Amino acid sequence: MKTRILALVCALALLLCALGAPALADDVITIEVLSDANASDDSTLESNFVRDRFKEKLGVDVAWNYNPELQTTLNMRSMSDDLPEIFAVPSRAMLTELAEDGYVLNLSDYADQLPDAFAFIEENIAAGKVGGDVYAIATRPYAFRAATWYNAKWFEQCGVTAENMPDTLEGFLALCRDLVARDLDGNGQNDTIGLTGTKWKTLRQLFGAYGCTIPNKLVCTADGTITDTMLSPAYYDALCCIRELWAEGFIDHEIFSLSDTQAVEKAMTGTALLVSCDWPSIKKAGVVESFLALDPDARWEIVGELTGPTGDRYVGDYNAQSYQRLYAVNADLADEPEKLSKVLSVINYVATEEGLELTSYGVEGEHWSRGENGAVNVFPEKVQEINFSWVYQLCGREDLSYCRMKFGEAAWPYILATSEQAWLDDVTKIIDKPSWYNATDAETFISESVMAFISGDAELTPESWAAFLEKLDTTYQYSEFIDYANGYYHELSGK
Amino acid sequence: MVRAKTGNRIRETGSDRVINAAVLVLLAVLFVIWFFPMLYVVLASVTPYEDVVRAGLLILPSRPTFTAYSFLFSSTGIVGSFLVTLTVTIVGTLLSMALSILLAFPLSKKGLPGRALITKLLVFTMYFSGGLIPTYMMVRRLHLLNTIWALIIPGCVSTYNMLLLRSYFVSMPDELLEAAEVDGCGPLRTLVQIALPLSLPVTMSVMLFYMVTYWNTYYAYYYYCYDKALRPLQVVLMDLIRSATGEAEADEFVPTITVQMAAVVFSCVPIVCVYPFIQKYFTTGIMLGAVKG
Repeated sequence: MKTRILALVCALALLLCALGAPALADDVITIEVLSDANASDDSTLESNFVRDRFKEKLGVDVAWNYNPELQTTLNMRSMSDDLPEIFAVPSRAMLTELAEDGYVLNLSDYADQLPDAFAFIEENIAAGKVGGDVYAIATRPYAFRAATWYNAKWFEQCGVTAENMPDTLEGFLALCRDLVARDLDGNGQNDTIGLTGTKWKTLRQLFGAYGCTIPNKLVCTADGTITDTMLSPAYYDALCCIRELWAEGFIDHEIFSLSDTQAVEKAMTGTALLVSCDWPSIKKAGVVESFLALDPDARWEIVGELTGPTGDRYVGDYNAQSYQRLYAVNADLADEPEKLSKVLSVINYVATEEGLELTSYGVEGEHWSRGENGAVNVFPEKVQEINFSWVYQLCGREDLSYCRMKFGEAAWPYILATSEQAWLDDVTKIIDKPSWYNATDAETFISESVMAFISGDAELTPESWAAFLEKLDTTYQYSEFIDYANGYYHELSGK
Repeated sequence: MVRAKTGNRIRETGSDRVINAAVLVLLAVLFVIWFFPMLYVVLASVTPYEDVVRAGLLILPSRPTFTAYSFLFSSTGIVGSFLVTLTVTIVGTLLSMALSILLAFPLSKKGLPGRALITKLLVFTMYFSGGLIPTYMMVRRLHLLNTIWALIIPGCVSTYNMLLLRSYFVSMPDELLEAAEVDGCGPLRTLVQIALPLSLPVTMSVMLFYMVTYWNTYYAYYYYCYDKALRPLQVVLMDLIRSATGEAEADEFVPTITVQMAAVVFSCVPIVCVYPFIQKYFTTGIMLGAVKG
């Protein structure tokens, strides 16, 4: 008897388990978006106004799946025939592989369902193409953010203001050398570093003043030619300058082991006079607060463009034709036209004016209002509530206006100033490496060799530099790779 | 001059004292090298951010503060993930121990038909696993995706741990177990009331192995789940550290080093608290199990 009662209870329990949660309305489908974009307050991705708007307007419930292990997860799920409806692809190489294996949808065949999306990403749509067809939405890259920052308090103590700051590289470096030699932090030790930063990015403005980029970058020149500035005569001069600064200790010898945060912390504690970083690392409100705790009088300003010996004034490199992320659609949806239509409607919607406003500023009336000139005025008390919405920007955003709203008027002058600086057009991300080119080894060889020249581990003379270039060409066929890159770029971009 | 022996105490010679002193000094240096990073982590978690950044070496915080912990518990979802990890660890460890013991004990019996073949097949899986893709397909077919069981079942039984248990069971005298059978014990009762109490060292050691494995659950979440409510502790910890070290999106919050250190302390404390209770079994158990394989 007891056994029968137990069996009945178990059966009832199983039945209750099967009931589950209430289903969505019949006309609302659920899709999964797999991405490495994650909101800081990620609990909001479970239930929020963007998701509600998608359900209401498009009949789609978008379940956001944040996953930083994107490459492994995509490999695993593609082999298991379990790809989500929309997913971020970590690189063009993987996009090409997925496209050739038939896992991603050819979006060119559905261009009529993505008019706003294609129009929004028109400038960099080629970044998502494989074999001439669009296989991924290449989201608009963010505006140029790089800058070199100087400690304005120290400069002004020595009588240097923004108005009388040298605007040539030579003049600026001479000034900085003089300032570094003084005990500006007042600790009685000659321990101030001139320039710090993280990895190769630290040196981008030094190279930029010679019209060059940091190693392993392909740039598109004004006439549409793809080249590596390492092959230009000015590169040797840039290396000589940087080598001299390295030997003096002006450049922080720890740059290759520092993170962005650590480099900026070094600057904030008075260890370095200059720091090379993007504006979010130094001008976001939360960051500014923590640094003011270190030094209430701290003020960090942008150095700006410096004219080098070649007459160039580049601050760094920028991937204007590239992408922030690549979003692809599962090819299996081609067999489900109705579902595919809804999936594409989500992608297209976020590129419309309404969708951009939703994912950038929130709901009109609830989070923002329109001003007399049509400008968007976000309610200050609502800014935190819309903190997460950027992850849904599947096609990108109008970066400058978005950042102005998001990061406030205090950061806006720096956001605008960094975006207006001169940059070299970096197309490295969109040039797929051919199978005959050993990219990993070549890039390692270039990085290590250039670093050896800078640090003094290798002698830097015109002969040794020529020998390096010769070895690069003979061992890795670098000239052939550059020729290939030119052909590939022109075919991809149609320019 | 050598003093006479008194009682049973063995006198140390001069060279003994020198060697002992050298060993002590070496152990002290190793202790400092090992202990100082852990101490730094704890100190940094209770020191104000500006003091951590300014100071090259933390000895004692001048102004202890729990701001980092307050932020950690209120803003990062770490409490929820702690509960998830605790659940996974407790349920997973119990399940793993039950299955491993129930697999190891019969395999320790010489009379089990096909014993050699079964053991060989199990050892084979220790060297050649199915791989990530077949495992994912299996988890998906069993409808475990995005459930807490996906964090427990795929790695539930470790062949290595099972073999440790089996080795110990083999070393137990057959006469003891036969005597229990003669007294009327069935196989299950023999296992629970006779074998397990006698195999406490190896059982506790294996239990600690499973506990640490479940406590460190990380990849399983990203492979099989996406529900934020199922995030284990190590995932939250890694997100905190990743956002501070990588090129964070402008929109992301970058946690300061004090918050990161507080998260590390919080994730280590439970294991550190449990280990002393198991330590006395640990060394004995692992050595016995390993030798008799």
